[in-house]
Amino acid sequence: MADSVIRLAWITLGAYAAVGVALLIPIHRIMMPIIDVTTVGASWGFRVAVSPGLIFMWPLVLRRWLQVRMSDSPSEERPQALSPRGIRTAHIWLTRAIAVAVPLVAAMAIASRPNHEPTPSPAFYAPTTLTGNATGEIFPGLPIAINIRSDSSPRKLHVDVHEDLNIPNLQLYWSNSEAQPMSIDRAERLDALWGPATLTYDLPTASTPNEWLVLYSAARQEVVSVARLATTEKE
Amino acid sequence: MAGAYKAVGWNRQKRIYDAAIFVILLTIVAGYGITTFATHPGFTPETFIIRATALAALILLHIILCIGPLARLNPTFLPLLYNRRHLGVAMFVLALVHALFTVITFHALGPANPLLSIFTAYRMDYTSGRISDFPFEPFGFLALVIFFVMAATSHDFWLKFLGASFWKTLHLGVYLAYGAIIAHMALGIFQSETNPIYPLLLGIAFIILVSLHLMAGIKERRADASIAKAAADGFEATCPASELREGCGKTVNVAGERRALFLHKGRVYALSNVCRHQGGPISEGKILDGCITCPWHGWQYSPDAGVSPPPFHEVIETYPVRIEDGIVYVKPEALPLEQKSPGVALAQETA
Repeated sequence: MADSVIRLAWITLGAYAAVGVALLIPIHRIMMPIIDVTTVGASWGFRVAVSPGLIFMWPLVLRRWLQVRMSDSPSEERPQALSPRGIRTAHIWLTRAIAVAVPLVAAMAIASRPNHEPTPSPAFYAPTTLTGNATGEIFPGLPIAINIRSDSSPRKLHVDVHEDLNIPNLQLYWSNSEAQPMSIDRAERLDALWGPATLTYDLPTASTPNEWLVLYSAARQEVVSVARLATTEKE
Repeated sequence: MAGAYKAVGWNRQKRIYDAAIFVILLTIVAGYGITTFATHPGFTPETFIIRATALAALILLHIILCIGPLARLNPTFLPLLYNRRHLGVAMFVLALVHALFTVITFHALGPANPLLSIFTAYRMDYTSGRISDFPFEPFGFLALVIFFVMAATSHDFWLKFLGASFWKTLHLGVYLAYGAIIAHMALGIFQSETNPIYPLLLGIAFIILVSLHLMAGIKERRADASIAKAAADGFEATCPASELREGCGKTVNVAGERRALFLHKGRVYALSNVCRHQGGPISEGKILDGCITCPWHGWQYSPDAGVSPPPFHEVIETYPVRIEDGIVYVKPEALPLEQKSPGVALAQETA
């Protein structure tokens, strides 16, 4: 649901901006000299500087151009009304709101931040351990099968993803660090997992007693799952 | 002032101003880089760029927000106001670089569409009761959109096209963006970065910012507290004529609005206090080359008719003025635009 709404919003925004881009040349060549005579003979630098605003504000430009054309009064200037009292009032209320809301939000967010002590759940580390030449789904609950060939040189790691993972920007890392809990700081990134696919990697070095595969969501900046590769235990 | 448009109306002051911005930014980035790589040798270049640009943009944002109240409190800071828009555009560019590197690093390397991922990737558990479970990236996105709108409409063309009121209101969005940035940081980096130095520094910057706004607000309120008294003929008493200085302005209140009184060549003139450019306080300016000069960006007006010198054609309202018993009286209703006000002779009336 959220995906569809956000997708639709981006498409709408893209279409809106595309119209603005398409109108840029007519706006510069036809409309702006009518709206504001001082733009006649303006530098290219000026045209580049105002173009992002024109792409964003094109309906207002179009409306003003039509108003001027229909009013038969070329280059009529907009009345320069400024209501300093109204702006002062808005300014005061905005600063008051910021003065109250900012410390409140910051304090609440910091007070409720999660405990960063290492507390991996027992299920976090996969019970399944691949040994020697073996195949298995070693990440609990995830449709990822791992096949490892440790008798080839270099060793081959086959990753078979059966379905869409629905985990944003999932990265596969290999690590031989003994440090716990597992982090990707000392791990080597193998690849991103792009949904259903079969991928093959050369494992970086000779096998060690502590080899791990780590699934890491770059978007969430968190380790999703970790599995051990006990490839030294030949069967 | 209005004339043939250029991308930037360069002059010596603007070049010095921009060079200073560049040096400040370079110092921030270099200082952060040296400190970070010395203490965390494993820092990746991507993370450095993301954090350095965020830090530089945050510092610029605080400077930008402090300049207004500082200039109200002490005219010494007025030169900082002169080219504040360049600071704003520089801040937007830094924020954009920060956003691009963040999206590429954290959202563009996987199967998800990065444009969707920035809104959906993080935990969005609104029912957990923990504010820290609220997603932080949409706040950064909101702030970036506001900074884009402000940067894209920063040219004088937009000021004229949109009208000063709408333009100023649009640019008040910087306060909303500031709130969004704080939420972005509190729900984002402060959740994983537990070093207390970061919230401490931000807290100090916030207190300075709020204090300056508070002090400037108190000063303005005191100035506005002198309520004018109406005379029988519609004129309102404003201030003793003895308070006026040749070539200088004075802010007075007439019918609840601020007006500018100027003493020029022995005659007193009353004008609108609002510059046509960005609403600068005319009364805080001086008379240079026979023209009232706005302290913010140097737009000029004649004291008698309120019109800009040729080839410019801006005009501000002028008001009937008289002096009685040493008190300056001003009529709330303006004269027709561009009509010359005779003013009133100070020496003759006070004699």
